[in-house]
Amino acid sequence: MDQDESLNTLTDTSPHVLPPYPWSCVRKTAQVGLGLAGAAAALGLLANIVESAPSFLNTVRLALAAGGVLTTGIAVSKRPDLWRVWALGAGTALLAYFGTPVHWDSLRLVLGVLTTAAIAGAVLAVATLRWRYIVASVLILFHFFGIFMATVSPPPSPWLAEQIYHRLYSPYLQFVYLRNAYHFYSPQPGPASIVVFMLKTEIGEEPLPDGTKRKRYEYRWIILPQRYEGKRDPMGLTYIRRLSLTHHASQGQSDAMMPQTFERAEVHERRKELAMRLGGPYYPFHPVEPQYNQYRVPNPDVMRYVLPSYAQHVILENTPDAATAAKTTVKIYRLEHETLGVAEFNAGIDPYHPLTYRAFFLGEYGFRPDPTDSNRKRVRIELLDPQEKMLYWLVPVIPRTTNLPPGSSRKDYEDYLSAHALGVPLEDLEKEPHASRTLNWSLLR
Amino acid sequence: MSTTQLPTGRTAWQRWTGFWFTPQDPVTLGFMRIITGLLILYIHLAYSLDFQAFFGNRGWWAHEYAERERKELPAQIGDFWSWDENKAGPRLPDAPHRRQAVLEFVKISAEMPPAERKHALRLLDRLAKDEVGAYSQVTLNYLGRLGTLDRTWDASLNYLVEEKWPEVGPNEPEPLRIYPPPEWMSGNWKKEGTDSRTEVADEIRSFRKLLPKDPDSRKYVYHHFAELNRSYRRAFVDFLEKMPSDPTERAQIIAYLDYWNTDPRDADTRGAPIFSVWFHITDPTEMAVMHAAMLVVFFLFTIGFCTRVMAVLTWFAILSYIQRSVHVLFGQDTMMNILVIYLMIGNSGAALSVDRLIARYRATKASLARSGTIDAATRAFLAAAPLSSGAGFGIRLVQIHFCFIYLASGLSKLKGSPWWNGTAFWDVMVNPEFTLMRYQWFESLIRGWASLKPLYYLIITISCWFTLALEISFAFLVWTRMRIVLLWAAILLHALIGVLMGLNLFELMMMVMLLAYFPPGVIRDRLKGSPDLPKLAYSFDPANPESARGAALIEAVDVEGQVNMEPKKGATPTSNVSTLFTNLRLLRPVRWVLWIPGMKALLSSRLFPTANK
Repeated sequence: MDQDESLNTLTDTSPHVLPPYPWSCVRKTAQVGLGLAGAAAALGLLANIVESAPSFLNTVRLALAAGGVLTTGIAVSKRPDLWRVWALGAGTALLAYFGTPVHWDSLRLVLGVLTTAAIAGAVLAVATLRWRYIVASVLILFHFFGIFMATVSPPPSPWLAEQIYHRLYSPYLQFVYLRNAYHFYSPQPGPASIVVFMLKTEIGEEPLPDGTKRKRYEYRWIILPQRYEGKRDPMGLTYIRRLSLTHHASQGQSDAMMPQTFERAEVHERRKELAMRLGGPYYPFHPVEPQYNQYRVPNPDVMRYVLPSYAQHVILENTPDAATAAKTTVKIYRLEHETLGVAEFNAGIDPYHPLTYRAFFLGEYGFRPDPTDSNRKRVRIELLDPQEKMLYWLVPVIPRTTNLPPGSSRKDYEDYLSAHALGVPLEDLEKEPHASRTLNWSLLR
Repeated sequence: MSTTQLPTGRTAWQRWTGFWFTPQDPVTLGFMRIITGLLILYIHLAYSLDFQAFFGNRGWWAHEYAERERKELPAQIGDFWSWDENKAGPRLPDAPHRRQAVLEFVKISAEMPPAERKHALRLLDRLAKDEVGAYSQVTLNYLGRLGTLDRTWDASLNYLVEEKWPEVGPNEPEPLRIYPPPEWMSGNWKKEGTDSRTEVADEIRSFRKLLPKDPDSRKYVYHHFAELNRSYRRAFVDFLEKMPSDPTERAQIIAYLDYWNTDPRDADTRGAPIFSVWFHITDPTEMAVMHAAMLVVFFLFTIGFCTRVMAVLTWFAILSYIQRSVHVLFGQDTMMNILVIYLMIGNSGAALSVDRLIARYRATKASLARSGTIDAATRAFLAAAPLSSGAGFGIRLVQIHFCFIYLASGLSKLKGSPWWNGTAFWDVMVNPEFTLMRYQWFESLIRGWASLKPLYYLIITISCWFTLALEISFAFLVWTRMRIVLLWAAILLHALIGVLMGLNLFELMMMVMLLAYFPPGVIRDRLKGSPDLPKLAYSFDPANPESARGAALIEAVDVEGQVNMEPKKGATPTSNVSTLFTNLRLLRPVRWVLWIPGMKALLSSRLFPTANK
């Protein structure tokens, strides 16, 4: 028979052509699943009664619960037209819920959802086609109204949408991960950011000519993402994922420089001190960017959790043991990479030139004793100096102010980023050992 | 797009159910399942390279932070009835050093016995009642000038009440004379009684007990209260006054405030209802085993084995990766999730799947058992997978969701001026991190384009208009005869983004979603084999159960109808396993399995049972 012809005549699999799985077989499968989940629940009861239940009991319970749900799931998939198999499915999921250890709370959430879905399946299996359509229609409307709410939820959103989204849809959309508003490249495609870490590890002491000693340090730059190291798969997914990491660290507050805040007044004063040659560290303001735009406070969540988490990861991944990690600190910089305008492009500027980056200092992190630990044994990652004068300020990379002779191999820019990271004056950057420790900007290409 | 002719003059309800529940050819959804499954496999295989860095205990988004977010993340919803929607609560400053100072103030207050604390907080309470705010500013400025020496405070407060400086003993140093604010010394303010100078001086003196000793920290506390508006100041006082007496509970509330900047008791909800096995499995070996198991599930989903169950498992598996480490996600993960949800709901295993092969086997076997031959109804079933309401429903869900994505994406772009003046396209094209700018040829190409002003404006303008027009109009025109134009335009857009911006997997996911708009027969026809495929004959004895089973197995894998089944009593097979694997279209790509020792004999005994006897 021609395929098109067959399509017009066959709209359902006839039981005559494809005999359904017999109920006895489906029932037995589902009962096995139910039994496994029941065993998990029984072991759960046992674990509650016995005070010092062995930890492997939890593993056994999980295996039984998962095996039970999977087995009954197969049974349901064989005969979804039977309410009885759905009912057995609901029972299995419920028993698995009680069989799952309490600390696996997110799995319990899933089992709760499965129980509800199985009960709904049982009801729908006995309902007439019309009622099935009605229920499905209500669910369709609910679902897509939620998707619509998600698309209008980013501010400025109407009050009604906010209320509906948060009160009605948030748990559902969170669970199914459908909260995206799909505002791609809106309102404008912004520049990408790179995060640069400078690790500083104490590696001992060295004697000075006057007989005293000073600490020796090892320095190491980590770039996120470094294109050729980050691109570890043929389609570059690992690289894009690393760019997502930098994107999350780039979320900033737009009102950080509001004049009414005392913080603004103070950080500006502190910053101005550094922009004057007073004998101490010197970091001029960026000559092009307006000063108000040179102070970018990250979002509170970035400050409080994202940056500490990243710092902890970088230190632990790049030190061989806990003792070395304890002696290591990391300075974090976010390098906003400006996209060149057409005029700059026509002027022949290299899109990867160091002058096209705007580096913002996000703080120096290290491990410190955890104040919440009364034994003072535990450590936690912390921002070491919240009063650091350059914190959240743009560390300038600016054109060299003195003309270079033609053919000079010296850099045509002043790299205050490296100077700040290494804690040395700019003038010393071209001398060893600092010269070999400066950031290799070509790695950002 | 439905394949069946629908009657005209239908009611709204009929139109609605016709739109959503009309059975459709499941091949389209099956094809989408295969492509999505392959992409999922790639995406998660790529995770293997960064597994611990993304999901491990010490990953970029460390387990402890992810857990805390999952369990504690507060959500506050504006009041439904009150016009004062922003429910004020205690707030700490964002700047870390200021937060530390105010937190110290909170801790000192919390440690005080409730009655004493209430007494000490009278001044803040007064400031919270200050409607105009001027009084608060004057008070806080005055406190700022008092410094940290108790003697200075006492002398100044003595002056406030008595209007004279206190006597100093012969060997005592003279305290610094800080005059109270001139506004307070006008003479109209009574000395004793309620709201008197004596009372305010006492309030200030007891408030001093709550302040940190460090001068900067004190300053930050004053600044914080100066910056808080009246309702937030009120909330702060209430927060301190309502501290529980249990020290553990108190410590938990303060730790929560420090981390989330809100009182946990004010949060409408705490934590997020999300699932991930990586919240619970943190041992690297156990994680690797689970990751491998999930890859197996993705593979089974891709080939369509137990598709209904595997689709559910696949969805929970991808959610595990998504919900554990949102910091590594981008649009591609969103699209993958959408596709898997709808492939799970729709009947995506009804065609192009192992499940379909099993169904073919069972149908053939049943027909042979019934009639000793493959009857007409079974032949129709074998020729094409039956139309499926589930497949139609799944396709519709993808179609509608895609419209939401495009419309939201297009309309949101209208907020930005770069999309109006065209520079948005330029910004995208020269973004050094995403585009091919690192290649010299690409940079030269862009420079060449940018050097011709009219060409530059022509391309950026047309590109922005094209993007906006396509994204905004798609939801409306895709249901018309313009569908084919829109589909090609969308494919072009996504192909360009994929190539030029390196977001290839994201764009592939978008293209898979676009398949849902293809007419039902298109994919089926493209997948159909050539009429020149070799033909084989297979004789079998339908009365012999083993022979009938062999015939059913061959019929199951003969998806192109290459084998002519010849039921004949006492027949012996006219083919062999090698011939089948060399000629049958479905088996040819996997003919290497015959190299496995013993496999040929095993298959021979199943497919050609009578020949082996």
